[in-house]
Amino acid sequence: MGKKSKSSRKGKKEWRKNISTEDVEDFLEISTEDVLSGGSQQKEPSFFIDKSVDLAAKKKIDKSRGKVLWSDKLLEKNPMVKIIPSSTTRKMKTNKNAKIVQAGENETTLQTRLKYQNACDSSLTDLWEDGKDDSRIKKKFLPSAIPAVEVEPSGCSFNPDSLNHQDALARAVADEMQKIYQQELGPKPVPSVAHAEVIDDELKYFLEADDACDDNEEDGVQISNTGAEIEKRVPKCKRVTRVELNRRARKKEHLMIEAEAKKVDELTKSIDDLPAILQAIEKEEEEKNKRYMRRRVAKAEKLKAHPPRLGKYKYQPTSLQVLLSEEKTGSLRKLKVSCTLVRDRFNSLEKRGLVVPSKKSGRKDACLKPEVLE
Amino acid sequence: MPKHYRPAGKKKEGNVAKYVTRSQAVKGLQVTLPVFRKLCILKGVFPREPRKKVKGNHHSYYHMKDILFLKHEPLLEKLRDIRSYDKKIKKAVSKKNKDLAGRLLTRKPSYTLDRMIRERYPKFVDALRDLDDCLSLVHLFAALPAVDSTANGEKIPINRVHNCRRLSYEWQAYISRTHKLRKTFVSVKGIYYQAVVKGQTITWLTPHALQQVLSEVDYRILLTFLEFYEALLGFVNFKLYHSINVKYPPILDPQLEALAADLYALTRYFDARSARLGSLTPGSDQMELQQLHSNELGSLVQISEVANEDEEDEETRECKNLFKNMIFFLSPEVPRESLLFVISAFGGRLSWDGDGAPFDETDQSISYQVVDRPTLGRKFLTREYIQPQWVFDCVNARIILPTEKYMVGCICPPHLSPFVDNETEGHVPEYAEAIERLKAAQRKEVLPLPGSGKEDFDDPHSLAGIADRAEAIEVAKKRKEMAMLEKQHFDELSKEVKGYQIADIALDNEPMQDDDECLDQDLRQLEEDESRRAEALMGRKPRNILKAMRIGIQKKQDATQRLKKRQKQIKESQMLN
Repeated sequence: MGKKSKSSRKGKKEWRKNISTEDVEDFLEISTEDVLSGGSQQKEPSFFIDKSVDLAAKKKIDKSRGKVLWSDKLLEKNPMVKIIPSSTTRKMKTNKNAKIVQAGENETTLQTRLKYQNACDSSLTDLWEDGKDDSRIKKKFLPSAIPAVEVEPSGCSFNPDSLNHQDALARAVADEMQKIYQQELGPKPVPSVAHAEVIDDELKYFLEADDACDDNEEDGVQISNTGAEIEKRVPKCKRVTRVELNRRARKKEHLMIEAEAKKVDELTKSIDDLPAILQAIEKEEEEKNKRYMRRRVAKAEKLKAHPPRLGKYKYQPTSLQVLLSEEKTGSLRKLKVSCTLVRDRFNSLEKRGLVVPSKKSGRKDACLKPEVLE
Repeated sequence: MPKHYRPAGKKKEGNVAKYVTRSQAVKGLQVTLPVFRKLCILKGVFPREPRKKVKGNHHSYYHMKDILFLKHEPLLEKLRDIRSYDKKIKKAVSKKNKDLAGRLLTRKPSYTLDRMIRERYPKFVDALRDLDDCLSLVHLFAALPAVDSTANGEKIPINRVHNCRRLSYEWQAYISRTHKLRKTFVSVKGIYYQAVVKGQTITWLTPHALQQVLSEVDYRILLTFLEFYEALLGFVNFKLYHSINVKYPPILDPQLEALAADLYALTRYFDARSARLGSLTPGSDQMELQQLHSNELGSLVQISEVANEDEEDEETRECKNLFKNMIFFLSPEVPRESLLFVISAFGGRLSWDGDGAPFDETDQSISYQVVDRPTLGRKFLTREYIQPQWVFDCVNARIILPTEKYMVGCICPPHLSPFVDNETEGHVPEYAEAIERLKAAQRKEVLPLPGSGKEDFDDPHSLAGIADRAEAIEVAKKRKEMAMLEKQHFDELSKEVKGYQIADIALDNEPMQDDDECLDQDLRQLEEDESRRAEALMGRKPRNILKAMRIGIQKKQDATQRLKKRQKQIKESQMLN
């Protein structure tokens, strides 16, 4: 905005004139009087006896100790209701500790007992009474066609036939070897410790010197190159004559005519080749279809073995539980049970796609590791 | 300018509209993740794989319809109520208000899974179809130790374990009582059983009775599955028990309960119910779940038979009579529970060493004693001492095998899997062939001798009775011979009519044989033509499938040929050595 109009400056600087300086002058008077008279005239005692008492160090908890819930406060009026403070002092706590723990135990057992009872309390009736038919029978979406309980091959019995046993062992070994090969053939991980020689200070300078030499050489070559380029870059500019222009125009026309003629030729050719083209198209279609079918079949086959990718981690099947050759005793009593069925059942749930595989489920379990056969 | 423009009011379409990630679903349903997991498992909602994973490969996707299905589930509200109620209890406990906490605990809201089960399995047959997983999980938990904290801090409550035990025994009692067990297979993992109930084949896996070690698995998920399956098995048992007119839940003898002789007690209960003449009311014995010892089980004594004879079919009758009139005694080192189940399912009677057993070791009527020791102390002469594998093999073969190979101290022949069809695999183990021969031998004794009596060789039923492949070949040869003889007879007659000399007829015998071969060739030609014609009429896809099948079969045959060659070579090398 523009300059303010020159209004009266009464208000702006007036305040300086209008301040009363009475208290300042009074103070100055008093202080000079004090100094001159050698003491305050207001009679402030310079020495006195301190009788004040320090406030007791109040703990924060004492503040909240006195507090009571609003709802309880409302009920205060009722003499039957006993207000429970939010926290108790330490003395009372030590006595109550033992009791509280027991109470906790009782509660949890009571909880579990009641929970169990309630869950089973469902009145057992015949759910599938004859005649009761649900009108809206939904089409059930089955997550997977893999059966819930897959019976193992014959070689996994506790006393297997030798050939079947070899079969099963071979399969287990193959699985393990696959894993080993995958690890070996994969890219090598970055080593945590790199092999290096200790370089002294003197050698360090030599290294740097070598680098500097190289740089210089490169620069020199470049400089020389640019000189030559600069010379080449400026060609002579000649004037384009009318002759040249006409020649160019004629050439262009020729080219266009030729292009058209070529097109016509190609068209006739393609029309003649029509059946061949159709055949080629058919072949392509067939190839496409075949590829499509192949992929579908491959996917279906894969689904029979493991679930689709449902989460972050891949599904990892459990290894085949086979007896090692040395463990094959043929006796039920001596059968060493080392694998747990819990993991197997969980794996089965994952395999059918009912549970998403997690990071932990891929870890190796303490199952039998087969040896390499002779 | 926005990159992807969608007109206002238009809803999302395509994969984005159909699939949501798990976190989106949890937010949409306004529950916590554990509650969401529980609900999904109980309801039977599982993630799917969409064609295009819109939010990335590391999420799990649920179908929108499934989530909407969950949204309208009344159990959701119940779970929310339970959660808020838990908060109240927690508050009361932390305020040291024991009275309030106790009062609240008595009135805790709970849910039942009846409706859920009815929704997921509208018909009983559906429930039976899904019973595999249910039974395996319940049997597994029945064998687990109840711990207060597993690896990931989850509790396996002891009551659940007892409930699982009870349910598993009830199921086993039903199966053994109605003789529905068909196959068993003892593998390294555990014992597989297969039964046929109302036309449905049910296969389940039980762990070995040895102590199971707990592994690092998410037990919350397993416990949720277990909750659902417990309820399901309870209802299935109820229905099955009612179908044989036995009251459910069964009331058992408390003394036997205390001794953990559950299965035995159950069967006593069965017998009491089925003996309608006496009409024993076990109402005086009240059931009370006490602390049960593990690894102590009961045996089965069949006092009377089930009255429902008309419902039994051929197979059941066969199974019932396998171990008829055989009395077994089990030593303490054999797997008692599974043998108890198996032997009683096939009609045998047995006892064991311990309190509450029906009879003693010194009983004279015992015909077989099952031992698993390297050597025996004293031996009774009236009974045979066998290893437990004999029982399982007999059950699979459905005949009583000779006990010489299974005696104490011998190394038993291999335990084969009845679930593997040896014919299709191509390779038949030697012991399987031995068993087949035994079976055929037994059946021959029953059937009249071939040749005597009018047997129609063209009838496929009579051929089906002959199990051995060698036998079948013999029969085919005989058929050819008979046909040849008939033809000869007919020719002779015709020639007589035409007035040939008898001497010439004798010379004609040789060309007969050539004719026979020609006949065979013609037949073969006809067959080939037929098959080729059928193939030509097939579409492209079935033809390719047929090709693939043939290649697969060829591969299998090659593999078996290789195995046979190797076997021969091994034998030869052994003979040379």
